Amino acid sequence: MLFKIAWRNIWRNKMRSIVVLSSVAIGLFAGMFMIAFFQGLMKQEVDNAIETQLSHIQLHNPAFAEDKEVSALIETGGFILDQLRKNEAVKAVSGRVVTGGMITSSSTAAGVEIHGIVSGDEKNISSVAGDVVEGVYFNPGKKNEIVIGQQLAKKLAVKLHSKIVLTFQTKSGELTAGSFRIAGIFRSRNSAFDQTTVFTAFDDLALLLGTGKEIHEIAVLLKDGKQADSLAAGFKKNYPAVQIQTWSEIEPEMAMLTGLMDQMMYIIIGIILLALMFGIINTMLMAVLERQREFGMLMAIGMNKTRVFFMVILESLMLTCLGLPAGIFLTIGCVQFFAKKGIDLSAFSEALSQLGFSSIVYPQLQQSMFLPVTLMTAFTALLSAIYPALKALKFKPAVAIHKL
Amino acid sequence: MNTLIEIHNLSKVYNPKTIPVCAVNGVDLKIEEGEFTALVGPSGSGKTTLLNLIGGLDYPSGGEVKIEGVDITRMNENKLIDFRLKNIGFVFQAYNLIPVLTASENVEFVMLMQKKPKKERERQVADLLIEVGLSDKRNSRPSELSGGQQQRVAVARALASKPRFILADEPTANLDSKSAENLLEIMAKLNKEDRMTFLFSTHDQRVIDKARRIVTLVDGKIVSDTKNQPR
Amino acid sequence: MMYLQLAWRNMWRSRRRTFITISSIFFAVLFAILMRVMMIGIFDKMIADTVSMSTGYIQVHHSGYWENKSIDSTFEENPRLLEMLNSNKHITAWNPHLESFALASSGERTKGILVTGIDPEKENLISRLSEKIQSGRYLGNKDSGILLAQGLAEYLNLMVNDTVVLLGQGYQGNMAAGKYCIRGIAKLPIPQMNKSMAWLPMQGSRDFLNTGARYTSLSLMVSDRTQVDAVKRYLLNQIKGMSPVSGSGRADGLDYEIMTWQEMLPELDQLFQAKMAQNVIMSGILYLVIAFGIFGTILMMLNERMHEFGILIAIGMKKRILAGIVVLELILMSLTGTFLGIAGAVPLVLYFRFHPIHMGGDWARTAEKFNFSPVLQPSVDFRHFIIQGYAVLSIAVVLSLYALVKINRLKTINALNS
Repeated sequence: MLFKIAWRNIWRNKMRSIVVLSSVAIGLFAGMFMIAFFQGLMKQEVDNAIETQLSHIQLHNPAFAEDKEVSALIETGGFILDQLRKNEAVKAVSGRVVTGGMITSSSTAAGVEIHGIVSGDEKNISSVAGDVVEGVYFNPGKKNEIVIGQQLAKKLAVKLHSKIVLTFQTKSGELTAGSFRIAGIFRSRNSAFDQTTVFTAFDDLALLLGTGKEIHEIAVLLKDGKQADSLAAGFKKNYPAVQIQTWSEIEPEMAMLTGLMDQMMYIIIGIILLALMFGIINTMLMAVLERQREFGMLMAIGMNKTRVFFMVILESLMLTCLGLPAGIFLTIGCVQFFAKKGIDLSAFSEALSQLGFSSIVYPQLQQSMFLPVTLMTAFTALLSAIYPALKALKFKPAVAIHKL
Repeated sequence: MNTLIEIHNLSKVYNPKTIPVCAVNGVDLKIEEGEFTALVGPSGSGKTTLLNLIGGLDYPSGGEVKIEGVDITRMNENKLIDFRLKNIGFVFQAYNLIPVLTASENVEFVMLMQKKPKKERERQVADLLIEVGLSDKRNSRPSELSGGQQQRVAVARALASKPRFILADEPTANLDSKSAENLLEIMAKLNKEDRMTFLFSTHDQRVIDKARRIVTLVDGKIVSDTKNQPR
Repeated sequence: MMYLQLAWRNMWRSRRRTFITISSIFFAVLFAILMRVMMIGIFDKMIADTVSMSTGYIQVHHSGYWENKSIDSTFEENPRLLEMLNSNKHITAWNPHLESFALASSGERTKGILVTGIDPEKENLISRLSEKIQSGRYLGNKDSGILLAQGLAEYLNLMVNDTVVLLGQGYQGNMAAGKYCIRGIAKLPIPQMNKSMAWLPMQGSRDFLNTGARYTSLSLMVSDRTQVDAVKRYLLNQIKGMSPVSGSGRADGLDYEIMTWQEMLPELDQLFQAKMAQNVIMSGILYLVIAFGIFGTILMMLNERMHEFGILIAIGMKKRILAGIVVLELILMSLTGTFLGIAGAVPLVLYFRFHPIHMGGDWARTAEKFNFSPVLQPSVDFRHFIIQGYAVLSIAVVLSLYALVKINRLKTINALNS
């Protein structure tokens, strides 16, 4: 009977019920969308770094990581490269020769890290190919081409098709230099990377280095990035002599950032739920106070306090139960919509848009978050119902009834 | 004859600390089973307050109210509610019914709270609605009923819990002559046939005419207590 | 004015109702402020931690130094300049460096490194270098020894009290050479830095490079991230008239360049901008939740007073005027709630400022490795309080206008009957 009364009571004042219902729905939506947003953000930042320079896993000769010595080549590098190519979990591999050196133009010199890459492979692993803003990412067949970052080009005061000289140490320890023509200029989201990394063809660089077909660095891109740790462990077993690092080991600051975001997220959601709670408390409180006379009557004809309390809580419960699915639908709809379209952050920050990078975030929602957030929201809504319900009990029947 | 209600030196003072208003001032009264009694007096005489106190809707400032020997002024709120459920029926001036329930559901409500079994409830609801002449309106909500009809459902509801007596506070105040007549007939019939005790608080002459005992209050004191020949 | 009076008195007629309405605004403001200052505080710390470990908020160099980092682009130690830095109340610390590339050799091995001349006390204030010492001890001001980074020491196979030889290019083309005793070994969290850094006391570095009393850079820490541009402008103004290079004849201050952290660390700036944008979105979502809460309260309040409105209109009050008074009431309540919210936020935020939330987990461990304290601390920039208060107030005022709609649509007879 109480259920019947509570249910029908909800529809007596449609506006109020819709407002409370919507508050719950919006509260749920806010919490979940926030999480989706955060997940999308984190993914964007991590993916950015992975796609531009880190990849999921990198393999090196253990001696290489120390000082990038030319002679620290990966044993049986070619063999490992082929094996990795065949690995089902691997999306793309690229073998590189890497060395530190100097780049000079007619005006200035700068220290750079030179990557000798196979453009066919590298294209699949690194986003630099897509970030080329002038020229091309290597012309097939042409020799001694170089692709450099826009910032670096400015610093060296060079343009497309200009000639620059790369100077570095060979495998045998001598200093050598090579002249290269700028085939393309790229701009990635990481300007430090732009300033210090240049790309040449594997064969061109290897020839100058005297390393032949041997490889300094193998970068691996996985189909599922979350498997990085487990796959790296597997590789360590297969290739014990090789140093194998996941992206988080290579760049620990990145991991730190994602960890920070996680913590922030809980605080933000906490605040949202608190705001929701007070919003509902106030609305329900007003509603209860409005029905003073009615509660007085109920207590007069014999409805005890427990039942009255329960009735009010039931009303909130039902509204919550209606609001939650609405919130879920809203969230799914919005997340799906924005997951395709993306949210352009530069629309919210003048400075960002001036920087010229369209920072687009694609919200993502993990299924595993649905339940906890829904439960938290439901809990908050019910908690909010308690105070108003308690207030309802305080009415004295005599006062209530004759209050006109 | 059973003494149902016994009141000794009852008083109620509102706002004792600021501007004290003595609504009921040392009242002694006895109500016996089967009475059909009206409390009358001008506005502000304290009759509503007195009724409240008898019904346990409020606590007195002094004195006691005994219902079948039980002093209800000593009960805490929860016990009072329970006591009312089992022993007292109410008919208010307005807003008697739960707006979201139909007529039969309203009547059934108190029986549910008393945990009566389903068959018994259904039977009684049907009977009571017939008694008040509203069987055909059993599925109507209060908003669909006229004032008089609402009051009649209220009577049915008040009876449903099989109370010892019914308190009615200005039950005819909002009704037209015909409805008022109807209502009073039903109540008089219940009083005659089922010996249901009625205590009214009213200044409606139509009610006073039908009462067999008239207790007059002025400024919180009983000034007269007379027998009446109902018309 | 009478309307204002009416509105004010109306508010106090039903204290309970007024209290509930005000509290809904109060909490909304409180939460909006809380969220904003937490977020900003986190960003501030992120930047402060990063710059304190690297460039500082502002750096002063000889012009062109940042580009070419040549030892010839040094500038004189200028007492007037230093005094100016000391006197600016926004500059909390300044840290001089004399940096150069050099080869470090242990006899067996040689490596290219960055050797930095520091003022040990000042350096420690900003980057807490002495806390990173693993073995040996920190440098003293007049020390003749050297501090090596751990990775470097390992590569060179040297320990405390061993000798290391430095070779480099000194000022104006002179050869720079020196032998130094290793006083201590420090571990830096960033691997690249850990393998290639060494520190000498300022005089030691000057002797090594034969520069005399010169610096390559002065790093400045400021009291507040938002003051950076103001301080830069101040500095630019003041250095007109100081010349960094004696004998250059220039007195227009153009020999100096002054760079902010945003110019020196553009990726950090980028990151920061992105986070600010995210902040806007998150605030937006919070506002949505708040708006519903406030609207619910307003709705109920109007509902409760329907009868009262009915009577007023029945006895002759124009709907427009009634609506106006009610809206005025709501605005007054919103203003009160906003002020109280801002006032209430102050102790709350201050509490968290002095008792920051300690975080745990992976992030905390990584942060500690970098010598960042893993805490979440809100900003105490009062401007945020005002802005958030204003935002919520605006939302409340807009929602209050619903009263106009409701009163206009009111049918008197229905209102009287409620």
